[in-house]
Amino acid sequence: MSDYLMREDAPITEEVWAAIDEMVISVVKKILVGRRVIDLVGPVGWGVEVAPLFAFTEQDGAAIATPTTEYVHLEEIAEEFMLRARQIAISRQTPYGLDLGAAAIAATKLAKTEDRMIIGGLASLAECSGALGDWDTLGGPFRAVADAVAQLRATGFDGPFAAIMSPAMYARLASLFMHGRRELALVESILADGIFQSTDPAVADQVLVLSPQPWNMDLVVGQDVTTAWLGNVGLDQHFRVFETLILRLKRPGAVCVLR
Amino acid sequence: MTESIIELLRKDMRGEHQAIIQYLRHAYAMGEGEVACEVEAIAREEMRHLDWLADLIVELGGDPTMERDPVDMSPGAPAEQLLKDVDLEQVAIDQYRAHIDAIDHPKVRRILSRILHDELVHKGQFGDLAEEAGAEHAAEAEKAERTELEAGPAPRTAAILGHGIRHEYTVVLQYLYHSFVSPDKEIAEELSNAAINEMQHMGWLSEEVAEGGGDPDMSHGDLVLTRDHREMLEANIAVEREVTRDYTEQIPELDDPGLQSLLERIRDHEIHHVQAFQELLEEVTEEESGEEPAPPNEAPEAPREAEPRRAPSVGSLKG
Repeated sequence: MSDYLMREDAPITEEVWAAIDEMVISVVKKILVGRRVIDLVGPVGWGVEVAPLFAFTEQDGAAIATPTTEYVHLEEIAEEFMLRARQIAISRQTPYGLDLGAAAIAATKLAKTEDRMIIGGLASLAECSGALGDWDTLGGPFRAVADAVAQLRATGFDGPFAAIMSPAMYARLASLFMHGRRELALVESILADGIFQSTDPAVADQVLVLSPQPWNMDLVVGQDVTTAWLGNVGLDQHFRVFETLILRLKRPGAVCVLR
Repeated sequence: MTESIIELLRKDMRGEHQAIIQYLRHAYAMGEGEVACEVEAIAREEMRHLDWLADLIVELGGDPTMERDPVDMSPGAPAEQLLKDVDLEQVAIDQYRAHIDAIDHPKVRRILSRILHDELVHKGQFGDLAEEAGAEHAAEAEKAERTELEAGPAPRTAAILGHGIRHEYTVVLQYLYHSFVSPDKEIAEELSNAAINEMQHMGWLSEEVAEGGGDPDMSHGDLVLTRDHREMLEANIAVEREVTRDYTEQIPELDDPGLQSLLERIRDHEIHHVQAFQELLEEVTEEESGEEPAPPNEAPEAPREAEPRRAPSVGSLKG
């Protein structure tokens, strides 16, 4: 473990560190949606601050990267939490164990921020849009998603495709059923990469249909989610959960927003 | 002969150090106007001179000094302060002329002549800036009459900022010395970069003090002046860790969210410095133990000690 996280200086045991790590990582894994949809590059290290973002063109009929390379900065996102000295004392002197609720809350906020960057980023940079249509009538969702897929294919983006939508939209989709025909199954049949539910505000009232191949988009991670010790505040211990990352939407036409 | 050249160059270093601090104090007190920016730019040129002089001293087998001649700490309107800077440039010009005459070493004479040329230009610039500052100050005074002046910082805030400035100034000098005397190019460059970063911190904190109507205290703590790589890196890691803890404890004590985020930003830079120094120290340890450092992108064949517990990671969740 890199000492720049100052973990070795923290006055807590290896067991407590292990419990914090397990709590943070398990919470983050449960919440993250963006990383389930797009590919990850890295972790390349905290010290790496930029990533190349290539754009593509054609030269004499051959696909080729544009002559100038843009570099995007990895952003650092962080949440902090504290462990009271009393909590640690309770965990040592009673059978109740260490309550890591504060770490879980920080990890939850961090995961939501990461998804904000990915899903919000995809929605705001998308270059394709379509009508959401009627999601309360059988056939409505399938028509909207099929139109988006057709648009993507027509502009050079082949599948497999995926969709990101809110739990409320997913519930409306899943509730459409008549004469043995399930709307959800029909929509899934054209979204081979899956349907993902997210509570991110970017998909509160719209649906993203995308071709999430790594040549269209990926996520560069510098420092993957980790916990550093910041020091003590009186007797209490102060921690930071953080990561560095950047969404690279290489071909913004690969995302279609249904609104 | 060489000894006397070194002594003259050390005297020049003390003068450059004095000028840097005097000019920075004056710039910080002026806020963020155009004149302040130009004064800071001149201070940066004096830092370059300090660097050249230190290199010459090391080349001649001497020890660069981190002492400074006494700095005029008296308050005054911007135009008055800039006229003091004109005077200080004249002192430097006279001193460099005398040293050029006294030194019979071609390279040293060449570099001193180059510095002398800069100081002549600076003297003219300060004269022009004093006139500009007079006009800028009059406009600001008029503005201040219209708006109520902000109250100065609370005593605890002032103490925290003062503590920060003292730390930053201390490490600027310490890292600069280490970078001057280190024969290892990578270590010297890393320390020089860290010193530049700490100078930025010193500037940010001093501007906050000046904005609140205070006067930054330009004094520094004890310096660890060593030529031994291990000793210097260990001392630098220790001082960075100490200040990281200090800032962490002090951030919640500040009422102003802007100041809180400034101190957080500085603290995070200090964490990066610890990391950089730690990596250099590992390389020094490898060299001391006679091992060849691992080539880039290749892991060492066997770990030197028991593998530490690996924290779980998130990684890709796709598929």
